[in-house]
Amino acid sequence: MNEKWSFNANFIYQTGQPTNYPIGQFEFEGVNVPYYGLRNKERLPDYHRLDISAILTPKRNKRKKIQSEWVFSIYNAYSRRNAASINFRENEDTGRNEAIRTSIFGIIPSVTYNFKF
Amino acid sequence: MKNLMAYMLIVLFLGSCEDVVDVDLPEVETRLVVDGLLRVDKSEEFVDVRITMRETSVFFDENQPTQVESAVIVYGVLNDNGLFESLAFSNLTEESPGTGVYVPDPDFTTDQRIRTAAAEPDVTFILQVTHKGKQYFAQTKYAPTVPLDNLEQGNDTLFDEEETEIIVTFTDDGDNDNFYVFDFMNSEFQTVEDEFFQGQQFEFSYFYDENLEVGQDITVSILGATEDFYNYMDLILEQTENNGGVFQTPVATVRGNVFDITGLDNVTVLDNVERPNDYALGYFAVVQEFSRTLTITE
Repeated sequence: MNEKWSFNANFIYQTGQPTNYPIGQFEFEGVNVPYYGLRNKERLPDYHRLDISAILTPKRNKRKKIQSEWVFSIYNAYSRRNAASINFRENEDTGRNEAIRTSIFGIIPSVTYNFKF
Repeated sequence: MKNLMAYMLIVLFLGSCEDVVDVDLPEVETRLVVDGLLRVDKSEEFVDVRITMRETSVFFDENQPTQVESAVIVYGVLNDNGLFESLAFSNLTEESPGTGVYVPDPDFTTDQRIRTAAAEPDVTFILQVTHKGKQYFAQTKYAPTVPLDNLEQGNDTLFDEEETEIIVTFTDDGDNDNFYVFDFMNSEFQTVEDEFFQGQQFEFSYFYDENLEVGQDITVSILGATEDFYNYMDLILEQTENNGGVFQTPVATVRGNVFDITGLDNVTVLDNVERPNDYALGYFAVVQEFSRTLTITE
């Protein structure tokens, strides 16, 4: 943008990884058992996220040898809950089956200070 | 970096990583499910034959009962050639329409009930079912078992105070390699084999998760099992118990002993190894059962 500020953005899109969902369930002696089809026929939801960052470079002080910059960045700016895995289980309270999405790293802001000398 | 680390820790510790989502599961053709565990109580005159026929459902729904065109149990002792020496039949019919529960046909000209005296070691039971034009076949051997010596309540807990300990004692039969399935009610099962206590008295504890009420009766049953049925129950429990371990084996379909023999012309070798995708789920087993009841105290 100018000598003081520069911006950067990074967008990642991946189709979901192949996975294996239960294709149904059967009951035997009151135990509900999921059963499966062929491996890797299903896909997890698509993965995408946007990272943005801004770099602030303060006016360089000619007398000092240190060069420095501040980096403000946001990882996963719209806090998408990308599925790392999907697990299936029986809800202990309702007895119904449900799918549980495990997602790590929602929005993560960060501040970094770099310097060279 | 310090900040990033701090935020990461905040996200990891305060934010929840898990949430319930809707997943579109693939729709597949339903399969026949045979819920055919026959428990033989030798003190009764007849075996309580009660086989439930269901169809598989999408993972989020419950199985619905289904009707079969015919269901027959054939039993007798097999000779060396795999043929029955003496043969008896039990024709099954739906107990009341729509339930999918099959019991010996009371309207048949002869008594179709199976006497408990007929259930002896070496007696083979065969279940033949016709469902939607397909033939299914399951073969099992009668599995005797030993009575429970004792059942008592213990005071120990495993993980938290809410649990109730039940101590089960039985004496293994020293002549054979035995397999046992314990039924603790409410679809709670435990599989045990006698490899490490052949012929000895064995005592183990079972912990009920929920706090049982004082005065409540619980019934614990010991079921005999063939090695196949033991393995089947073991796999079913492994696949359904929520443990979430890191080193678990991948999930897979647990198949029982009911398979599809539609169109097989070789009647002496009833297997369908050429067609691995034609199968029914569930299991047909005839096992002896002993039960004990205990009233929960403080």
